[in-house]
Amino acid sequence: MRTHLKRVEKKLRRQVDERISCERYDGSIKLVGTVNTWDDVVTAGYIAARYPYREVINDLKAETVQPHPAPHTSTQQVLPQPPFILNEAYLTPEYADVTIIGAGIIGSAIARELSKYELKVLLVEKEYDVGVHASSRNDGMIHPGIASKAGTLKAKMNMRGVELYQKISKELEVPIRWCGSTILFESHISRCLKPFFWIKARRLGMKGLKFLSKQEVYRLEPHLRKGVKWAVLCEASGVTSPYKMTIAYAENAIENGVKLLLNTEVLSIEMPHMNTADSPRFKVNTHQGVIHTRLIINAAGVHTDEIAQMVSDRFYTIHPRKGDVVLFDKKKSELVHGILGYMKDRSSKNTKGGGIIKTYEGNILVGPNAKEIPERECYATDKDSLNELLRQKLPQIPELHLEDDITYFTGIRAATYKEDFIIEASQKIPCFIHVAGIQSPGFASAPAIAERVEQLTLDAFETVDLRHITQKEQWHPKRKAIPILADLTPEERSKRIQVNPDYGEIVCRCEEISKGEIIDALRGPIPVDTVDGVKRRVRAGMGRCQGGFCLPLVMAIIHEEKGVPMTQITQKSGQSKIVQKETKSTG
Amino acid sequence: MYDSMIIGGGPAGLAAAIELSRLGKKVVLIEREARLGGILKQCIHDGFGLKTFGCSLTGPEYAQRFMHHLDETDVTVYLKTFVTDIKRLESEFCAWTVNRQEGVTLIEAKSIILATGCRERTGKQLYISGSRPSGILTAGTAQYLVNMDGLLPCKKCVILGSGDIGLIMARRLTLEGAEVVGIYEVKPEVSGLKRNVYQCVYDFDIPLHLSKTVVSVKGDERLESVVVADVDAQHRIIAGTEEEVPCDGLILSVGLIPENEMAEKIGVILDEKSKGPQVDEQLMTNIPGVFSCGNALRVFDLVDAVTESGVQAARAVNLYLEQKEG
Repeated sequence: MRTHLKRVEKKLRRQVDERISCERYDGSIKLVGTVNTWDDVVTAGYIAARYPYREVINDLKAETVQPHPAPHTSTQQVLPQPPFILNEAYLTPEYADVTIIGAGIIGSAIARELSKYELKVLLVEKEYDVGVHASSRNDGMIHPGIASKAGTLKAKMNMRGVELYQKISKELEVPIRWCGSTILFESHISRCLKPFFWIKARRLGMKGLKFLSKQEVYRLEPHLRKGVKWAVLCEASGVTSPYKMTIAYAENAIENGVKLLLNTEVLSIEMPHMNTADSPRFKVNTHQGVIHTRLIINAAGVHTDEIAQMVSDRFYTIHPRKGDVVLFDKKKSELVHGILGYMKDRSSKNTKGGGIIKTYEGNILVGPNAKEIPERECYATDKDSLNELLRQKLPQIPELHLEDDITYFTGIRAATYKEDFIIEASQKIPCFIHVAGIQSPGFASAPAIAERVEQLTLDAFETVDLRHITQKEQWHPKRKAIPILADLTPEERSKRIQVNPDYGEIVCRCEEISKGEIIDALRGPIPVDTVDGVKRRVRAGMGRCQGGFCLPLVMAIIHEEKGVPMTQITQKSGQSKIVQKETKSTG
Repeated sequence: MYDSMIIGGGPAGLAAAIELSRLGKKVVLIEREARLGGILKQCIHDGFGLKTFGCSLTGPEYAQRFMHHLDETDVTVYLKTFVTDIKRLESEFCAWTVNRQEGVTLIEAKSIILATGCRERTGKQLYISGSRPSGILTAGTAQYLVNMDGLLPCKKCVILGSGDIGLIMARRLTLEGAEVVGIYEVKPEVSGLKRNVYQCVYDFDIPLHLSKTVVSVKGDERLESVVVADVDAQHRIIAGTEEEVPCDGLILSVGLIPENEMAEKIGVILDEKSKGPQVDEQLMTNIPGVFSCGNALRVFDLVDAVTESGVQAARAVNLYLEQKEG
């Protein structure tokens, strides 16, 4: 292995930069040194990933970019921030069996599965709401799995995820449109790939693979540009609302006894002391107070390696990969039926090149593209990059015009260099579980990942603590969704309005959302008092006017319902206030 | 069964309802907000009605005059009532409406006047680069917050675009104590009315920058600054002219789009350029019995012209109904 390491080093020095050195660390390969650009950092990481190490720890620094945000260390002192208005202060120490770090789709799904057991579970989230990052910044696609390599954890989780979503969707009342996804080919010669798809589907265990003739493609997608010769259809694929799914998981977890701590950022973790009388616990320091926990599940998305560093088990590096998406007006909904991707550009090493999708709500979504960036939470969009995306994708649907766009956004994938999921109990630290590198198809895999982590958790208690965890007698897998009045029949809708007249008062005109639905969102199990929090629950402000008309009305409802002064209402977290002061006030 | 159903109770809908009722027709007026008047309610500046009434009124005053007239008619008015769908039956139309009192109800009429007004083009359609802080609002939303809710959206702002609402908000925000750092217009000339340039910009010494635009925004939670730059004749940014302007607000006045989603639902064909329905000289769309007026038809500069088009549509509907029945 030692010579191996030298070989990799030599290669990296020759191909990327003279100044790179390689080390071994817990079975992974660690890159140190300085290179010119961020692209060099990423290229070096990928080269190293080709060798049979466990993972790649990429600590290279790029001269042209500010240093990679340093992972927190246990000695680092961060000044506590004032508690946010929304939550009770948890400054008294919390005791828990399980602490899940990160309330994205993964953390929330895990919390929900663990809520079955006689365990005290804390779900810790640094943001003001659940699913604020990657979980709400994606296309909501449930991938068929065809893009994953057979034998990878990704492929396994994806297949199982698709299967589990059938049930989860019903239990959590988050509907999925199983529209299927199509890979389109514009050349005849590509037909020779058919056996390749058969074999791959068989190896993956993927059901519902079909080949479509040109006629069948255009019957399914009549608005596609001319030139498609044939297509692969994966029937076991669909779309749903990714943020609604995340919220639903978290709500169901809370209903079953999980405690959600919002605005709680983990700053450091102290190892369990083995000499205590009680079972040893980690001490998790957050800026809201201390959590003593027996087991930690690291589902911190783009920050998983930073959390792993806190327990000195950072054997991988997350390299953020940004993707831009553009959304189009629902009135163009008819132009696309399902999920469309073109097969070309095999040179891209990234998992996603993006496609054209009709979202669950009926907006056509274009993207996402992929760009490696050094920042983990930079959601700034770039005009040129969006233009490039549109230039590539728009011609595929000739009747879709740029002026039909309503918004765009950016998400960041938490990729590792091996590009596979890491879902395992720490090899070094008992009772610490890594759930890292969860990127596309992470959303599709979420139920399966939760199932796997559930097992890992039970195993950890069993083997380390010799403690068998029993299931709760009362567990409620069903969660009630906020009704979508616009989707009801006129009779049902009238009946609902009779009981609650607020359902008859339309606030968001573009998405036809009533005051009653907004109040339901504000009264849900997760405390919400932000405009974006309302938006993610009931879609008020997500339509073509982008909240131009309903923003002041939504603010007034938040004010009435939560008692937050109008001048204190925020878009999202912290200082993102909508208005600065009252016009007649001084100051 | 009504003779005509008017969707939208702004200046166009009000004028149409009054006129048609005076002509002896049975009219229903459907408005989604709690009060009639449409966007006039929040236009508390003066300058309305010079043509119609020969005097300068504020928006609410202008609307009030019509509401008085409406009271004298037997027009059925539905307030806080939202039209969710309209359908064309054999020779009449029906609309599904939603309100607090009755839930979902069906309203039938022999003709429809679409007076649904317009909406603002949003910042998302400009593709300004940068982060997504709060503090970026369209001029109309800012106007609602200031004039209806008594809330000041920003202390120091940049206005992008020189549409009339933008110019009016420049003055309004200045009067409310905010600093307007400048108005930036990508075109070499101002979009709004000349009188607004004098009354709202020059009189208040607000810097007006032509052939200049906002390139990007900065700030994680609340807007912290914008970057502005010069543009050439093709609106391309001239490199090297970028300049950062600290501000906590960006007010957008970058165009209005006629609202015709309801019209499209019954198959009304829109004009590519105006974004309003294609109409004949009688303001009738391609669907017989469906008429369009006001800013839903095309964006007018003056409310007097909107009123005029409402009256015109009403007369056309009258003629249409008489021809149909006679």
